[in-house]
Amino acid sequence: MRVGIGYHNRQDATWLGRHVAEDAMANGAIERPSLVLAFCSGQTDHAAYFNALQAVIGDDVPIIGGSAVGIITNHHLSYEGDPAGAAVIESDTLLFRVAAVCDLDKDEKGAGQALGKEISDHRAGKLLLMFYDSVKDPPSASSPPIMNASPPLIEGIEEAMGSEVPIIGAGLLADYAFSHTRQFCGSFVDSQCAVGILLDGAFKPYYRIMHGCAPLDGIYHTITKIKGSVVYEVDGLPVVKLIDETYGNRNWRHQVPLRRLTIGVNHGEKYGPFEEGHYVNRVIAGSLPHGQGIVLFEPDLEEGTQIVFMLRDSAKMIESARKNAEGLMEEVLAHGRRPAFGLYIDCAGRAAHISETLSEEAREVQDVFNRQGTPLLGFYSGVEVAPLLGKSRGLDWTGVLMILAEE
Amino acid sequence: MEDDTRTQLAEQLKAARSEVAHYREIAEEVGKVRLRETEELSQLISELRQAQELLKQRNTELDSFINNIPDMAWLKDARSRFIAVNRAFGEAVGMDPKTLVGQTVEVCYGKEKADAFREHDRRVMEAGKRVVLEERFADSENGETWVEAIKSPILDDSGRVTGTAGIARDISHRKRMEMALQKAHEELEKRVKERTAELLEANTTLKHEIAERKRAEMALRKSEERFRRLFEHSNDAVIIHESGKILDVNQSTCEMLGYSREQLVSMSIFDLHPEEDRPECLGKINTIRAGRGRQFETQWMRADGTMVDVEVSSRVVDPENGIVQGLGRDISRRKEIQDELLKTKKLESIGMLAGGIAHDYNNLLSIILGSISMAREDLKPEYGISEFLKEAEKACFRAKNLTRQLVTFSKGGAPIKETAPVSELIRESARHALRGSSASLDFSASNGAWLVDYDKGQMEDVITYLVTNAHEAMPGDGVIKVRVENVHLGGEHQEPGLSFQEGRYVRISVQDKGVGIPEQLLPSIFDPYFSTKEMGDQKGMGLGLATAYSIIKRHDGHIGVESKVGVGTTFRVYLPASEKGLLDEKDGHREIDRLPSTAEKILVMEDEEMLRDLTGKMLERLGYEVQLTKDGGEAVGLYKAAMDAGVPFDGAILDLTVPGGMGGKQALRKLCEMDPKVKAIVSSGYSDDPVMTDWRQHGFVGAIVKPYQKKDLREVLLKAFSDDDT
Repeated sequence: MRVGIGYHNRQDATWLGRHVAEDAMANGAIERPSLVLAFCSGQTDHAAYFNALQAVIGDDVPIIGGSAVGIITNHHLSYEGDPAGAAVIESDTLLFRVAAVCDLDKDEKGAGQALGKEISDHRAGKLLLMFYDSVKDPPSASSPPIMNASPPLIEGIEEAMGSEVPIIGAGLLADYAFSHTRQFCGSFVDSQCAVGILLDGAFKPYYRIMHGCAPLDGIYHTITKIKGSVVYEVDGLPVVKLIDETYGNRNWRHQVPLRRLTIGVNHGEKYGPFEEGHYVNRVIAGSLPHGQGIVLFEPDLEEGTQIVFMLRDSAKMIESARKNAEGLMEEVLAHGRRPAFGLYIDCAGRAAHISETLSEEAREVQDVFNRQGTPLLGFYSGVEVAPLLGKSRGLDWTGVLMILAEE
Repeated sequence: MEDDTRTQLAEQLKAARSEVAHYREIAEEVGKVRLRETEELSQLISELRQAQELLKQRNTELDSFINNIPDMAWLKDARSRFIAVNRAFGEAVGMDPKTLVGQTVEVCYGKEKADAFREHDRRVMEAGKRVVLEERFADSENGETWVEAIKSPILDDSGRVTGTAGIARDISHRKRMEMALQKAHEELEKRVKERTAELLEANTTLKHEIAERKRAEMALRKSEERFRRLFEHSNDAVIIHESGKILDVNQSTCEMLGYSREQLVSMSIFDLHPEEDRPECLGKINTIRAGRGRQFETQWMRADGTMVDVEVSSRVVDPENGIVQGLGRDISRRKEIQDELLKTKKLESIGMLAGGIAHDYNNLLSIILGSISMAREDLKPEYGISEFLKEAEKACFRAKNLTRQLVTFSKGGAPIKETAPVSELIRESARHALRGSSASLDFSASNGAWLVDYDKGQMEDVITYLVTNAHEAMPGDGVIKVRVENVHLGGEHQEPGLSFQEGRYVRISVQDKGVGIPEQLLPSIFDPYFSTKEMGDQKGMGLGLATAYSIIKRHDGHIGVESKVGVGTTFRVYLPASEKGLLDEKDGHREIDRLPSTAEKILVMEDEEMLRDLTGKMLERLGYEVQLTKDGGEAVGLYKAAMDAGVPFDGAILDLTVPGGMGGKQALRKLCEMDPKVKAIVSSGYSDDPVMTDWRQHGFVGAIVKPYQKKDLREVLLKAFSDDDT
């Protein structure tokens, strides 16, 4: 497997597409491209970028990906301007099937079922890479952004193709304003779509999830009133009032999403030692205008669910990125495999200017991959999808790092 | 017991709940503190990030500034180790600036210099003040390099000196300039002293020079007088003018133009030109005044209105005042010679064409003429066609004449000259030309007319053309005067419009009182095909006068014309008199009318078959025994065979030119080798060929020009064979 990475930052989407593709082909010494993963800033003309990529690489080579808040490669990291990047993969042993379904905003689960059926009808696989439009409705004066829910999407996929194949992917985010996104669906570009590629062949996928949150006070609260992704009450009390008391003020209500607090569900021992991998985090997208409740990124919680308020911890986030990146690379090497390509799906909230850190946590990942000379493509996303605690899930505030390793 | 236990347990539960609530409160409080601290920490980080961004921006600006200044700049710590150096410094020492950080200057300049620099740094830090230093570096490539360094202490917030900052620039150029200036200053001082001494000496010399100058001025005045005399006595006209206004002229100018000096100095150069030539004259003056002295030909108008051709050399003699000196040389004579030459060239070019076809044409005419004459001999009068043959024969003669005229133009057409008097031939030719006309001839010739070397046939033609021309110029009856006179010409004796070498000439003049020729046509009348008469037949073809001109030129003579409209025209022909002196005209003609005394045997070599056969028949009728052959090779063979057989030929007629074969000249050479006494006659249509004109010199005993008739053959043979007898 040969992988070439291309990156540029320029407004002209056609120029961008052509030069990103040419650089990737040159860097990877690619002669016959098999597959392309490509992402670009939400304000880039996606169709022009896609067409320019195709013009260089060939219109018979599937391109999957889409909008991203920013781009990460071995030597570049940017969420300013018009960054774009692509990984061009050439492999005679990589088998894949690409499928895409749209109308995600109408029925996430149905879309998942259709996607799963389309892909699994043809072959088995070792990994499903899946990217979907995470924004159902951009924010308005009366509402925080409404997201397409990953749980029903994943549930639909697994219903159609079983849960044995790990799903790694992302809910795509175009920018910090939660604008509409677009997806590269193999041979076309569209919105409200989920595009998946089932990978099989002579490789093994390795992955890890980077965290960065810890329980605020360790106190469990029980959701007592919830509707979809809007939580109204916990412990029989208005959740907004509880958060007001915790902050000691109401300023947090203007934050979209909340910068410090998330909702965590502990899937490990309730009062056992803290294990970051046991928690599923849900970002609080914001509060309703009149303080009736808070809106979560995902509508997968229900009444009776016990939650803890989680506090974002930048130091832990960076430490987690370094520790997991190094651990994952060591694991691949320990198994005697060659890390051929890395994909880093990084929550847009983990970028330094949002998480208010002095350094980028993604630098830790770059360092590990550069030391090893492994091609790396990453992007900033809205929702990360990866198996956690034995089940593929939509995750918030995480980084999902995956390596395709060859024997 | 159970109640007690329940009570205890309830109390324990209560206490536990209280404790849990307490811990929860603590936990909640801890959570709030953590959140607040995190918020505060984030705020600090946010501010720090902003500060970092600002610092980064400042550093970028500073780097940009410090790296873009052309001077070397650096920062050192208190131990004189580099904290930072700029690009210019790196370039100056040939090292990467980054590698210098942490090092001392020793890595760049060696220990000795480094110690000196460290001492400078120490002094700056101790004094806490800026110092300015000049350092000299010896450079093997560039020689000596000078640097000016400004070193300042670096102070921290408390005012403590933490290191030094320096900036240095290469002042080698300035130093070199200063040194050069100093040297120049010293040199100047020295020169001033020397110059002062020189001036003192010069002052003395100057006095001598003044005296010398006075002597020189005297010499100059004398020189001016000499030049004035030269000006006055120059054969060329000299005119001094300012923008055309004549300031002075010499005597030659007055003589040339017929004005007095006083008249000329009141005129301008433009007055010497016709009205229409004045713009061109102005252009030439402007060109000369622009500093481009030039030579050109023009015409000046004399006081009497006639024009004189002059060659003018002009140049500006006083550029400041625009004074121009023009030298005018009378080139009328040269122009006449040039015109003559041009005319000759014109004729030659036409003759070249005619000469090219003459050979074949004459061969054909020979056949036709010969055949006609033979036919006429054989014809019985009663057949009644003799007149037709006679007309055909006349036409052939006219064709023959036409060919001869054309060939005359060529460089050939050279006359076959005899030394003889011309009077009788001229009278007969004139009479013949006027035969049948109403005009009468008034002929006179001076007694004792000199002999002339001339071609009779050509001279007959000349007279015929001139007399015919005179007759045609007179409508109706009239008298044409023809005169033959001896004249001495050349030197001071010249005829208008003609150029003579000094010597004796026979002048033949033909005068009519006809319509006359307009003056503007006179220069063209000798041009081929120039005619004022209508075209057609031979009359009016415009070849007559041109042919006459050509013939006279080939006799080294001259022909001129004088004419006035309504009065008449006089042509004058000048032929150089022969060096052979006078001859009684009665002895001038020798009749050759006898038949061959014996039946000589003749070999005829002629490449043209029909002419060969015809010539053979004509000779047979004249009583000769004839053998025919087509080229020189065969002729030589036949001649030898006849000799060997003891019946040699008495003579041979040899065609000069045999295409692809041996010609007459080469054949004669071969024949002479066998028989040195061979008598050969050369025949050719190329009358201009040197062999034809000087046949005797080439070993022949006679020449016959094609086309020829039986009587021509008879005449040439009789003469050739009789020469031997006489």
